[in-house]
Amino acid sequence: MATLGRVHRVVPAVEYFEEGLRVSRGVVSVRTSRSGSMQATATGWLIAPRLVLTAAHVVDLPAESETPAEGETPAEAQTPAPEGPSGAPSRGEARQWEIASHLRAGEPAWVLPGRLVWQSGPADLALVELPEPPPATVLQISVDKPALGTDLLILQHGRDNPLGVSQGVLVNLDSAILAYDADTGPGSSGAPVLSRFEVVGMHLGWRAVDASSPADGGQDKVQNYGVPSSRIIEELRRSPVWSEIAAHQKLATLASGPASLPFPPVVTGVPLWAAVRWSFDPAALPDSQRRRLARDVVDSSPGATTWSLRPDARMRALAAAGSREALVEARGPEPIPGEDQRRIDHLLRGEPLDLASMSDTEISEWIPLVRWFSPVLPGLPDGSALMQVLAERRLRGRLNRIRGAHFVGRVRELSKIDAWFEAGSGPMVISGIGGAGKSAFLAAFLLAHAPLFVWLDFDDARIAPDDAPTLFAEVARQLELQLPGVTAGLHPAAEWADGLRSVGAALASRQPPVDRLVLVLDSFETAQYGDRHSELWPFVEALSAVVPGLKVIVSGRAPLSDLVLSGEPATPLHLGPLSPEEASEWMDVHGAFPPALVRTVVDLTRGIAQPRLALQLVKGGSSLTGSTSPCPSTSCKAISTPHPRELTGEKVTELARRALVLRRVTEAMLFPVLAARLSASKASLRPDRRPRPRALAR
Amino acid sequence: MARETGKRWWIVVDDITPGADGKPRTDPALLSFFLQFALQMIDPQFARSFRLVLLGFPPGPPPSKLPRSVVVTDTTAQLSDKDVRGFIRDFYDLRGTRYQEPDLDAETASLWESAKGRIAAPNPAAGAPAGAMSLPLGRAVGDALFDWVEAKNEGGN
Repeated sequence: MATLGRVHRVVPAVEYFEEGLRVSRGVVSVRTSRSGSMQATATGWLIAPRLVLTAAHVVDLPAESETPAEGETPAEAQTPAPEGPSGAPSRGEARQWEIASHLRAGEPAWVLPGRLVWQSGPADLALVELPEPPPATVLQISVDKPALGTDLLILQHGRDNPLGVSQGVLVNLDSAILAYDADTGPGSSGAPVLSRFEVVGMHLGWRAVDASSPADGGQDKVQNYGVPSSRIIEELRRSPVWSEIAAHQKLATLASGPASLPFPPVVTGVPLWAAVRWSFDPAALPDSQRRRLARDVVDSSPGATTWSLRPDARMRALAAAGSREALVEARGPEPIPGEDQRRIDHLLRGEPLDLASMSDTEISEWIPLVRWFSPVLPGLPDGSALMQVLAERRLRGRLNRIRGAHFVGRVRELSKIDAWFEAGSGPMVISGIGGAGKSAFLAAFLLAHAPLFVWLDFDDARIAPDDAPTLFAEVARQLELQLPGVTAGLHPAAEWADGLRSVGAALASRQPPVDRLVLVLDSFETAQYGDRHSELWPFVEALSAVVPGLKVIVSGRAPLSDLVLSGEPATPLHLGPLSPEEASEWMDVHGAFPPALVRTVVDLTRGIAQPRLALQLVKGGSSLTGSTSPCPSTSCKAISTPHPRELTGEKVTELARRALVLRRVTEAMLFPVLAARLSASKASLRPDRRPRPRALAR
Repeated sequence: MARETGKRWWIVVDDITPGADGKPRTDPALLSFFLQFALQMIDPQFARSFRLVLLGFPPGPPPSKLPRSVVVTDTTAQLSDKDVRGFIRDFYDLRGTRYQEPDLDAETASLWESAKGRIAAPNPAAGAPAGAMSLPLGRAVGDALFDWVEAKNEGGN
């Protein structure tokens, strides 16, 4: 195989000739006559089902619009004249057009009369309309610019001849002229110039070109030329039938310029009545208004039965209103149901917000409303003020929620942490399996002592133990809620270490000075995975330096055996199982189990002693109520089954017992967390002897 | 829901961060909630079921706890006529509309001028009420494109 040139140009023959035949059916002969005498013949092609495009010089009439004057030739045409009309027009008489498909010798396949609908002198284009769509192919006009050397076909009618074809290549192209070396003859004006069966131009005539170089023998040369498709499209946009052509050719219909696009009022297109309603029924709106508002509502999908304005659109409309009176007038007197509308009406009446009587949820729901209406209703509380109230409530309220209404037991452990708080040194490390009640225990402790505190929960997506700025941001936020103004001196771009010093100075300068702060590091096992706590301890040390009375509590599922802060070792406190009495009391106050079953559940949970887990299992599974069996349900069995003794292998069993304190057993966690619990030295756990997670996965 | 429907759910959240004035637009607890939601994307099984889009996120990197592998940030701050041109091109391509490159240039210039006209400062002398707010650029471009698409849908290619 040999490919000559850059492109391999062998194509399937049958498909090629079939496509050629199909396209040939879109090329027609064009004849004009006056008073029964034929005046001109040319070629044309269907650009839409009822529209034929041909060369304007075929017409040779005084133009309705842009026809050149008699004797004038198209600007591109040089001598000799274009190959179009034959015979001189006789003015003042009606011209008849005859459009025919004449593929083969003999009678034409069809003949239809035509009517000139438009012509463009400068580009030499004429559009002829047929009374009905003929059985012909609409040719596709190309939107691509052909490259020089492109293979071309010209489908053309010689005078009184059936359709012919010539081949050549593109030799010249600019915005106005397409030149080629394919042969043409009288009657071929208006013929489509094709590349890959798309129309890249329309033939107009021939011209002499100066090629008097020594290589050419110093002789003038002749080129055939036409108008390129880009110019055809550009000119056709001005025709009265452009939309019809564009539709059939799937061509972009362009705006004619910036001024043709609407420049609506800058302020808002949103009516004020919509801005003072939480929602409204789109079906009640006139079509034009519904379409206009569709872009300014949250959900305008066909299934939406009520519309509500987007916040930005609502704010623009409200701000433009200028006064409460304008809002009230736009609202009107009719009652509108709904809690959200009640809030809007509350604001329009100018009634104050009684935050003290509101729930957290209610305050939360007021935040966007005060933001929307505050520009036009002066005196409304700031959204930030609402947030301050809400955040303060949540900080303390969170402790109550975590502790729960019925905290029981842990007397011995509370006594131990109280002693540490009053007189202990160093951090405290609280450990216990998930659900043991560590957070509830800590909340109970904080509520009992009500100290200034910061609670960093490493389950929170906003804080990361290896990202000190996130730690500082949360510390500052919680301190500001409890001691307003303590972060007032902070520079927004301050480094976290500078920020800590600033906050420490503010705490020390208060009257009385703040000399004690409890820092809770909760869900610490999250930080332990992959050792992602590189910046945590330096941060805590820095905080300790600026708040000398800092008391640090680390709470997590895994123990920390070697934690030392400010030179002081940690005090461990393990939250093991509740005593049978405490577990029974816990189950009694939570009322999850029938009294007759409480003892059974306590016995089943044994060393794991997970009353909260048992409760969750019962809630998620079948009820135990009314049953007298010692283990009557799958839920009850589930409490007892995840026990290490069911695993095989002594080492694995021991590891599994320890691994139950973790959220996930990963290889990275085995050594740092479990080694100490196995009472094994690091040296004894050589890498080749370290247990693998997959052993536990069995 | 995702498991029951067997479909991937797209959750798009707007206005959950403070406005340009630093004041809250909604309860910041919503942002906390969705950041926790985003954190679940670390779990491939969870991530297969959801796509979470947080609009109007404050400038700067996302929380460091969110792995870069699950976060993609985009900004409209550099919105330009090139974006408009890309929209027009994509629109035409999707509809199968044919065009020439100069067509895109002309259409882009026209739409961009229209968008800029919409963000001109409100002029009280021209009847704009006191307190009137001009459109942000993104919204102005969106409105211009909305009108343009509507015109295309009503007729023409």
